[in-house]
Amino acid sequence: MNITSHCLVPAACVSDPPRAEALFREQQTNLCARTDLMFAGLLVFQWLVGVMIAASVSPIAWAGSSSQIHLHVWASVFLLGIVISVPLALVVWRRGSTLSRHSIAIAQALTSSLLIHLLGGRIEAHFHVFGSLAFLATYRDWRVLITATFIVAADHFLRGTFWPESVFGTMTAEWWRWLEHAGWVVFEDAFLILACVRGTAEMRSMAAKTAQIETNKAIVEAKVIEQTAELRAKAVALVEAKEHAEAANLAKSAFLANMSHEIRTPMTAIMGYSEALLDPQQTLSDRHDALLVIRRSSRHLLDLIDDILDISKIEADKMTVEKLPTNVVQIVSEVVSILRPAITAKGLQFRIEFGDLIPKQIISDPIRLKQILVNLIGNALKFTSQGHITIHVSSRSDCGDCLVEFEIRDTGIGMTPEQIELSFEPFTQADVSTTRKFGGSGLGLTISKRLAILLGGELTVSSTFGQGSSFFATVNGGPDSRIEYLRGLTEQSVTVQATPGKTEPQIELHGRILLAEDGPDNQRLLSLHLRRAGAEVVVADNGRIAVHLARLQSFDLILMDMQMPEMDGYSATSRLRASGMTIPIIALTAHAMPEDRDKSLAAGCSDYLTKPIEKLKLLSTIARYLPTQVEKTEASTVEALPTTATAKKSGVIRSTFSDDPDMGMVIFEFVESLPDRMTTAVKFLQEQNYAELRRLVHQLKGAGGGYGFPQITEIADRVERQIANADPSAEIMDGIKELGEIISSIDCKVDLTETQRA
Amino acid sequence: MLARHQMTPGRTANAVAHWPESSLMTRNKEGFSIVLFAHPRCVCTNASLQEFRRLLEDARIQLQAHVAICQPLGTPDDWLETEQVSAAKSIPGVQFFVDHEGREANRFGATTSGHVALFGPGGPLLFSGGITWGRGHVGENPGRRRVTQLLDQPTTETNGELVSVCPVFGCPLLEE
Repeated sequence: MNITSHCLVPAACVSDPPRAEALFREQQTNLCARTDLMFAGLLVFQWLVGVMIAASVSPIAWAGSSSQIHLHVWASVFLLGIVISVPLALVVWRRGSTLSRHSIAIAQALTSSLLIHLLGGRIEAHFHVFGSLAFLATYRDWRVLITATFIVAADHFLRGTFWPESVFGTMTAEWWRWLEHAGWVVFEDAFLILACVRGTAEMRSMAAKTAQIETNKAIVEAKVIEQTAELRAKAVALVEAKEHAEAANLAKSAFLANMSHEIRTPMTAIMGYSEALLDPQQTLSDRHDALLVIRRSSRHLLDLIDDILDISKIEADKMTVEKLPTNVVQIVSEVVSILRPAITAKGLQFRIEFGDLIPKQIISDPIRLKQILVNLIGNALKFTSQGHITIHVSSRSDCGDCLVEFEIRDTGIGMTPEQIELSFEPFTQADVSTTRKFGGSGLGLTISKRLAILLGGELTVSSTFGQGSSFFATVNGGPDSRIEYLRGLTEQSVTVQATPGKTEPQIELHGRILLAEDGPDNQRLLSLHLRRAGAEVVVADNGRIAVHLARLQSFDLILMDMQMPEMDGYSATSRLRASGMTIPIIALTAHAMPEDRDKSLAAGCSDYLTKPIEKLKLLSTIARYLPTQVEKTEASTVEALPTTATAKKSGVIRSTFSDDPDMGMVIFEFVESLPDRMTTAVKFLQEQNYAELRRLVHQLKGAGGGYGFPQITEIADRVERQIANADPSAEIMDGIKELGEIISSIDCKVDLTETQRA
Repeated sequence: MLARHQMTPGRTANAVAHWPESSLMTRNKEGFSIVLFAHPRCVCTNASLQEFRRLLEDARIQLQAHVAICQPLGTPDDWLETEQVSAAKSIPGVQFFVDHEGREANRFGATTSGHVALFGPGGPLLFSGGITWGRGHVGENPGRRRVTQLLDQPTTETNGELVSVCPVFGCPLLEE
């Protein structure tokens, strides 16, 4: 840890005057206390010396042969003892105090006075005064010097006046002699006071520096503590993150296992029924049933993929919601129209209830709101085997906003408290067996909750195990003041036709469309769909030709594949937009990630479609951009879709669209082109021209399924991945051979015959 | 108190007007005689001895000088083994005299150690008193100054009509 790099404040910038003053006082007190002790020793020493001098010089006073202790001895013992007793007492009880040092100063001056007297006023004895002042300067308190000086001056004045022999050693002394002595003392004081003032200033400076050091130290220590705490918190967070990541990893592993199961189950059905459809001896009814299973399984797979993409976006914080006028009743109607058939088919009752006030239109994201409701009602449907499902719609005002509440109640299996706790966690269902029993990705509630939050609301649940669950979803509909409310809505207000099958619109297109697509198979397939819808189609093999044609001719819309040789769709779109072209351009790409969509839109495209292209989605998307369009609804149920069939019997493969009279010729042309393509593929492989080989296989992959040959798509996809992975050429050759075998198994004549028969 | 002690002289001497005939010390018949009475253990007397030595050294005339060290009755054998006695003996030209029981002091009327008595030719008392200005203090003082003056002008005031008297600072020679 580099403390200095980010925590130290320059010492000069840190100051703590109160602390510096406190430190100064503390040092001063300590100094004075130490000096007090020193003087205590000195006073006692002087006392002893005084007694010794008196005892040695004049121990006894005589009168004839009789003697007595000399007065000087008593004086040194008692008088000097009294003089030093007061400061000694103060040193003991008030050490370091102002009183003690001034008392010492007085005692020291009086000691000088006594010693001078005892030594007969000898001038040498006066040096004791100067020595005492020098010692007193140790206090670094000039006031102490003043006190001592005053005592000395007063003593000299008084004794010099009345007993000059006592202080000056002479019977007669000039009146000003005390002033002379005092003057020398003041002379010394001047230097000592200067030294005291400087010493005090140095002490203050030292105290200030010490305070700075302490402050810096405190800052460093605080920083160290803070950083240590941060490091500890980070360590804890890391451990938690690790545990969370491990838990998430486990959950995702479980999720992947579930997904594997979820994907394989419908895939198995699709593949199995597809195989069955290849059997020419199957009855029309069997084929119809098989197609229903395939379509249901496909939709299930699509739902799974949608969920996975949604949760990916949510986890990456990329999920955004629109703010559009949203008709609440219409959303409910649509959701009901989607799910009521399944609910009814399961023998459940479905109820719609409305509160007193229902907003006519709110500001929200209709698609996401619909997704939430479909998820919740679908969930209720999934876990309810008898009884009813109810959706209750109401609204309330919250902080000036209109909150729309949707309660979905069911009489299903319900949840335990533990299951409730896990219900909104991603990749989690009540338990693993739930997934196996009821299916689903386990993401629906997670997605719904996140969407509800994104829409300004919340999603909560209450449930009783064995009795059912109630999910409460709220969305913020915008400012209450702008909402128009409907009153008295009933279930009948929701005009939903609960038809047993879904009606599918037949879309007619009127306009001239430029199809920029390099793959001939997709050229034919897309052209077929567009022409059958009524559009006029002009095909361009790559982006360069498309740009050229768009500039020469007039088109109402361009359908632009984004991955083409010579000039890709991005460049072509950019050039057309740069040249002022304003007609709609719809991108076609095999990638389904959001960034591809963004990239296409950034290049200038008006909209975006992913491969494989669904006919209805293709036509409805285009219809939005053409000048005129007519949509007519025909009551063709899902179950009544063309009963196309693919059969495989005795090695013979047929297109799944072989019953479609319009598809017959294009399928024939596609099949006819396959042997040459296989020859070309082998040639590219021998020449190790993997780029061209990959392009060719990619086209087969894209076109195979579109012409009703999913086997071609499957094998071509595998070969394309082998090329991409730079697998050994022998393995790629095996794949191409397998592709050749499939192609050689196609009975084109049978298709034509059946087409003509239809 | 200390100053008073320092500056309080001894008891006033009852000095004789002439050299006592009964004295065992020898008088200078033709000239001056001077006697210093001292207590052998009085510390103040050190100053008197110093002043006495100085006085004699400065004297320009021949004179008979005595130092009478008092030895009261019943004193120990080492009574005279003191610094003061040594100092007295070391003064050039001085006759050391042990004054048993203070008889000589009584004869001369001296009561305090440090007492100096100066006699002129023929025996008249010219000066009586101390030659220090305080207990144990050497230095210029009226007593020494007066004695010096008398010795410097031997022709005047030799008839004993005018006797100079100064206080004596020292311990009593005998118990009072």
